[in-house]
Amino acid sequence: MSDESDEMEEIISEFITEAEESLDRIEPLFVELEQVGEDKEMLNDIFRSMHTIKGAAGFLGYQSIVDVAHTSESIMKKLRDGEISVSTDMMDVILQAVDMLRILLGHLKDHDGIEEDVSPLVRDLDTALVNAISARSDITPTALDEAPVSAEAPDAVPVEAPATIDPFAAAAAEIEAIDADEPKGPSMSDDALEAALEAAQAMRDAETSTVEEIKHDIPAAIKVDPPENAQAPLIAKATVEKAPKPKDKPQNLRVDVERIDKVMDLAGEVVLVRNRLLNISNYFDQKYANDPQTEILTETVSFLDRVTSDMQLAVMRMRMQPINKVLSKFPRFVRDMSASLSKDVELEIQGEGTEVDKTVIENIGDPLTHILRNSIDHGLESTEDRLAKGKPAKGTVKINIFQKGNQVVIEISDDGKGIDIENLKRLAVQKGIMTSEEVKNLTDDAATDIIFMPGFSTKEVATELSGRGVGMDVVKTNISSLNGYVEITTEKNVGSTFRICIPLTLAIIQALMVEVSGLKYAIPLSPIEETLKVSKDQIENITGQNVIVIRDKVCPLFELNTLLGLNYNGDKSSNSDYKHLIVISMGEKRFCIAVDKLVGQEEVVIKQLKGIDTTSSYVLGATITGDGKVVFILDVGAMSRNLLGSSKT
Amino acid sequence: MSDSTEKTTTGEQLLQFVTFTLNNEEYAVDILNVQEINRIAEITPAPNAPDHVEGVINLRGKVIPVINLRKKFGLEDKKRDETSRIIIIEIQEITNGLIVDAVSEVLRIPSSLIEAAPPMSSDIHANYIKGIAKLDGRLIILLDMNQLAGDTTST
Repeated sequence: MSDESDEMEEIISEFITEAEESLDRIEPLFVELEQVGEDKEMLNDIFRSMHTIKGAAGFLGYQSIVDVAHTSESIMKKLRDGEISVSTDMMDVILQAVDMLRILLGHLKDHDGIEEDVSPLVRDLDTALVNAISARSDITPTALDEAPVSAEAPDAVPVEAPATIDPFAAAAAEIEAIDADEPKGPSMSDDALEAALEAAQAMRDAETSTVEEIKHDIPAAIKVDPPENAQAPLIAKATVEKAPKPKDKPQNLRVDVERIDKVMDLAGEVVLVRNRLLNISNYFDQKYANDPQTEILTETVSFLDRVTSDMQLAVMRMRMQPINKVLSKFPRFVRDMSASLSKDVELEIQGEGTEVDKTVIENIGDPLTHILRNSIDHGLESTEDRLAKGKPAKGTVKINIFQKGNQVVIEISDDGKGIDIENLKRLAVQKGIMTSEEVKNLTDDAATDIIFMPGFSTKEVATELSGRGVGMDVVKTNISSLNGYVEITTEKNVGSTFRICIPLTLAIIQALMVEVSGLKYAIPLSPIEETLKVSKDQIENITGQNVIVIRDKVCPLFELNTLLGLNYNGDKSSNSDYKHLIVISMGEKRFCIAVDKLVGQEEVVIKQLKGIDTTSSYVLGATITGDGKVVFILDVGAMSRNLLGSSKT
Repeated sequence: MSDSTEKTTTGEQLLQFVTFTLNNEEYAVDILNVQEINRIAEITPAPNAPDHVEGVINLRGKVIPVINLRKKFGLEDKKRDETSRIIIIEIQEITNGLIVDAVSEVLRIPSSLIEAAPPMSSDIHANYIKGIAKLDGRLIILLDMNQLAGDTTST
């Protein structure tokens, strides 16, 4: 009993995932359709996806999804067959249908049982279809009559079929059937099609039947349709031949992320064991250099060394996905935005196949949307301004993604007006974010960073889309949380480029190992600006706060052992006349951390800490070093927030 | 519960506990919460952690926090020796280590011998005590692991 419901649960969740993936895939196609006009291949692709969703939803008994998908499908079919043509109004309503499908799928996923009233949308879709048909001057009266019929036609998907059949396989069979009928498509009535579908269905139901038996069954399946009888067996035959070969698709496996993470954990442990073995074999190599067994040991361990490195890489790659998953929603986003701002915008995407870690996929969407929105709203000029400047009326926004070393670079550039740095500085002072003194000393590069400061918006009037200056500071925070950084290059009237750099994987980071009070700590390398060795008398004290002057700039200084609440061994470090300082820069904030010793740079595997409250302990996670010791990784972001406060004084 | 409970011949429930000593008193935890018992490994002190959180250890590649039960219960701390152990417990999907003076044995205790904790003001926070078992003249304090776990994560 519970097995059965588990299975059903699995089928449903599979349906949701696949349906969402189809929607992700077809959504950009709509926008492309609108641009390039009717492309048979694309129309067919959308039609099939809609049909698959309808079929599977019908099988599972989700009537609202069936209704929406069915009406959309009818439109796509007419488009494909050239009976109607693409129009903006029609695309608007179809995109609404896609949105509605997403909402419905969302409800299913959340198990919230909320029902959406889809009838207004279905009505809109029907109206759009009827309008489109009557818009065609060469329309035949029969086609007109047919339209409402096809919109209401009940679907033949057998809801009562046994639950063990994969709904997608069933739907796929239907599609194969449709493909098969394509050459004769226009001459076929809906009923004949349904008959063929039922035949295909019957064949799937009876897996053990031979082709002969199925052929025998077909006349029975189509006897509902006497007028078309002569044609149907032919079609059904084509179906039989075509359906049973879904082999040449790429072999994909859907695996639970938890399982992959488990393998990743285990691979990390193997790495640790390997490191220890390397230590041991080195020891034997030195002590028993003449023993032939020692040589075998060293050889074996070095082989293990290589295999382990390869394995770690392979596991890391399992978590990587093409970034296209995030980008696919952007063509639609840009379309909607350019329509509401009445700006003509073209979006170019390059390198959408670049693979990044799953965590990056999950977290990069919002920052990218913010930047894209900013580029279109603030970066690109209005059409009149562009023409006045002698630029093409259509603005271009490019997204370019590529891998560089062990980093992924995402560049978003526009050919707009560029960032007016003097204006930025003026606004920063006006809004009290910075003093006029501070602004004067800013280099142009540093000045562009003003955009990322909390509460800053360069547009005098906040627009509905770009909001009121919240957002860009969130971009910086989100990207920092992925251990990445963002920078801007801009040129007046030529455009601006936002460049985001993110490490390929988040599980391993580069860290600086330091020692304080006899304990080792790891500090992520990315926010470290430089390290210095200073003598004690260079450290000054202003109103109780230790500071150090680095190249004429005052920088607050904190002792790491005080920050971490380490009191013992404290006097040992104070005996030394010198201090090692690590200069951290987080956005506009800079501060120094004083440590006893710099140990060196290391690649560390981040382990999550469970069971310890890390919200106020300046600890990000922990790692295990080659000798099996636990070393804490410090959270310099939290330090900067807590020590320097959120607003600059 | 099914694994640690058995029936005596009289049909009474037998509960299984791991017992350990702390400051010469006997304590017990439900065996189902106990994952393993280890010798004291190298403990890395955790920064800015509450006093009773001794630090973290590397348990086969997992980093897990270790709690000094003496400090947690307000007892005087004691230098670790040969008999000191870390009991690895898993509660509410979080793994913790507990430092104890010594681990004694696995005990089967009939449920009839377990009494509710008497209202008392001892050094130990009464919240953590689930009951007291009287067995052959011994008094064993049964600890409520869920209370303990909730505590280590929130403080």
